[in-house]
Amino acid sequence: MTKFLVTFCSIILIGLATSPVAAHKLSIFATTDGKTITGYAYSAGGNRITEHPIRIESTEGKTLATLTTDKQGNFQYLPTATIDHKFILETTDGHAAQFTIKADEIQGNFTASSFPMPSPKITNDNIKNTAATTPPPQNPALITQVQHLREDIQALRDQTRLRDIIGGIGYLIGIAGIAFYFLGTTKNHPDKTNNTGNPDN
Amino acid sequence: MHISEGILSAPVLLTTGAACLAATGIGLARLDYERVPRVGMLASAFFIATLISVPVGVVGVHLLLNGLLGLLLGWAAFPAILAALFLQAILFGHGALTTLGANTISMALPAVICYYTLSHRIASATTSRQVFRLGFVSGVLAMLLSLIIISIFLLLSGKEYRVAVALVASFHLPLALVEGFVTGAATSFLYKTRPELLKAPMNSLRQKDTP
Repeated sequence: MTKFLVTFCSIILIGLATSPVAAHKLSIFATTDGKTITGYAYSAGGNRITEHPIRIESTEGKTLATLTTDKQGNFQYLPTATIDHKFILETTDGHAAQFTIKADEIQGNFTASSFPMPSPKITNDNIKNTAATTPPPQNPALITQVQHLREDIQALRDQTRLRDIIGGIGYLIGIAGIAFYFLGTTKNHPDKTNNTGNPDN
Repeated sequence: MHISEGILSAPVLLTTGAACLAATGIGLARLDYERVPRVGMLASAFFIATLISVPVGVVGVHLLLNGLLGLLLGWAAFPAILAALFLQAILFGHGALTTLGANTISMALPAVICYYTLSHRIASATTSRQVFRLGFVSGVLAMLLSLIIISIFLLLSGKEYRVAVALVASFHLPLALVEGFVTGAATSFLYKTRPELLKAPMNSLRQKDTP
């Protein structure tokens, strides 16, 4: 049994070590520059999901729009309300992915007023509140950097780390060990049926 | 092949959850003290094998090894696969916790079916070539049954997947052949080195195949 498992596990681990271990997962990534939401859909190993429908829902579950990813897996959407937008992709074999763009990232000027940011009167009382609620300045370079940062965070989350694999295996062997212990104290234990008179049992 | 969150309808989730619990109970009840380490190690092998995803089709396909698990574990494949899938959902986000029941049934039920149809024949096989052939059949059968069960769950949840089900099957057919080869190789290797593992995967309530 050990020989078999050693060869088996070493084959698997060699396979893991040589190829990028993909998480067999579907993912959507989206960012916004305040006006338009752009994003892309991808799967294990970075392959883009091309020409596939994506549904956009509000938090109440109402469908806002349906998009289709283009040949590079990208999509674009112009929000019409300052609400949370949930992008959902469902494939035909039961996989799904979603990504939410929060309402506070969308600088909507959907009212008659054409000023992008409301500027309340700054007094000593509400200076702190203003700082917290004023949207960040429209600096394109900064926006691009933040988008790249978020992509990096998403990529980190997607990674199937070796330590997670080892952790999972550890858990399985641990559970087996606990089961081993408990079954050893029940009537399934071979010694129990023999009445050897062992004081420990 | 792990079904994700929000795809299956509530009745399907509840039924599969209950059925999975019942089947795991059966698997645990028939688990023998001496066979527990084997269950743990095969669950680990299943855990690793389903992680390696080949980018074919939309998301990617992966080996299941449930044919092998069925032959070696019998009903104990249910707790083994349930534990492995639970950890995958928690650690990697493959599949969701709500669909654990459905995912476990889709992978472990074919394992048990392979056990009931093929393990007696393997136990009475005389050459390693025969064992390889039976292992191959077990691998292919287990993969195809898993596909069928997943398609049934999707269709029962009201999804319009008729055309897509055919597409999914076409990606997985070559994979089923690979699975067959891997299972066949593993079983014939075991036949040559530790044949007693193939003889009696677990306690039988009939006491017929306990060593």
